[in-house]
Amino acid sequence: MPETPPTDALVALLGPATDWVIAASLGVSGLVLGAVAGRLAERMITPAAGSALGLLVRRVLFWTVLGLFVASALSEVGVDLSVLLGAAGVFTVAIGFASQTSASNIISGVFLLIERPFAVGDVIRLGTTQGEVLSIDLLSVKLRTFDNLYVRVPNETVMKSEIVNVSRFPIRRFDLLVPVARDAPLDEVRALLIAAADESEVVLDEPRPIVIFNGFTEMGMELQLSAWATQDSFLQLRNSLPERAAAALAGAGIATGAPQRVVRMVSEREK
Amino acid sequence: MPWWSPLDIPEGHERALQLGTLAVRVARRDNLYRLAWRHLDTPEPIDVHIGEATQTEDLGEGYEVLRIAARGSTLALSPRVAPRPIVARPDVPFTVSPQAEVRVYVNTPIWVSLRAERGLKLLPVVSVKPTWFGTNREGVPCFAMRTHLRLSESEVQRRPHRALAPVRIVNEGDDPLVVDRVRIPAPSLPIHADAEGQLWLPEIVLTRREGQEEARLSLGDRRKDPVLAEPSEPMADHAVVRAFNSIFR
Repeated sequence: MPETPPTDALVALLGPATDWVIAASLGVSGLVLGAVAGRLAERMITPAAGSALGLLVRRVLFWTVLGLFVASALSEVGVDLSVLLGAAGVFTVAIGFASQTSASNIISGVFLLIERPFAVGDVIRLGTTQGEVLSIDLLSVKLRTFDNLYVRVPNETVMKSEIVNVSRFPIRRFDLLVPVARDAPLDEVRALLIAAADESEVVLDEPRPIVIFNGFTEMGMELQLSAWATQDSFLQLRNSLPERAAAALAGAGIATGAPQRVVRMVSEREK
Repeated sequence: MPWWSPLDIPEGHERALQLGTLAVRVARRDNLYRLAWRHLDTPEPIDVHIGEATQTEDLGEGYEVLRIAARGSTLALSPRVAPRPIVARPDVPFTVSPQAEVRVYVNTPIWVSLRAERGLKLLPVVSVKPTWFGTNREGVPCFAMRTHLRLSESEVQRRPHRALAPVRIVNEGDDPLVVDRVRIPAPSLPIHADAEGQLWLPEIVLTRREGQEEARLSLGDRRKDPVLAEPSEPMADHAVVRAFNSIFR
């Protein structure tokens, strides 16, 4: 039996070990590079596009870079990637059918992050749900309602719904509908309502409160008192203004509207 | 002695203060200060009143109360700038001709600081109303003030609880400038006191350039009087601000 030279024996012994070392190095490099690339991209994107999109890009970059390096590492230790890719293709089709909803949510989530109709901390209304945005994630938006419930709304639903961002602008108008009797002196009512708004400590001086005549109703006449407040005083305004307006009208002896029906009695003889 | 001198309140005594429409009662008992305050509906008096009051538990309606634990018998009173800019609306809007300037005096309300050791309360000397300066989408929360803008210093009624702000409005445009309100960046200004006890803000210069919607804000000559209160916010040099509401409305 021919004797194996010592160098060949060393290569034969170390060969597989070297491949594993290279594969491990590739894996570690993938982790480090993915993390660095992700963080860099996040830093560049966050100031312009917000933290949520920055985080998304960071995660996508990290997993993409890591995936590529892991594939190279597997190839290095002799794993046939074509078999894996073929299996992955079949697996992807199966997953695709099974996860249509999730995919739709992810795509909707990406569009939400790009369009940014609201941000974390905003108060929004989605259908019948109103609350503070806690997070905007890949699959869903999480809200905290004012009665302290945790609500998860799928991104697809958010994209399809009408979104009302209650806190986007710094000031807000409150409209109070005031029914008054048909014979009420309109000028006096207007003056009383404006004075009631002006006396409130939360009603802004500018934009000025106004009174709008909405029309005749079965209650008599309907007026609308519109007053502005900053976002943080809005609730106080909504709670206090009706009371002030009612007190001002009552103090001046002006009756608020009440439903009226005119019933005409016709006797048989009149017929 | 100016009203911002330290106020001595012996144990078991009570003091009553009135600055503007702000009525304050300070009682001291068992190393506890009771601060009670309200804004009166009566016209704003010219002078500041500080006197002894009879201690009473029943303050009457409308008072807000704060209790501060402090061992010392001294209550420090000092003027403070308003925490938000002040929008002064003249009774009648005035016009600054093209390539002209005008100097007006605005009597701005101040805040008073009542401090017993570490306990502190800031109160406005008159009841102030919030307002918004800007558009519905962006702007600045301010305090509103209706005032007579005086063209001469001698016409201004001096009140020790208000700070006089000279405002120079320079119209470098070729069309007349109608001024119906002026924003005074009170939090960025110091309060000075002259020898007669009158409080002053430094001169504010608002320059409107030709074709520009915004005014350039700068401070005029520095006053030589001592500073009683430092600004609460820094102001950028030559800040470009929307100072005249009528321009961009």
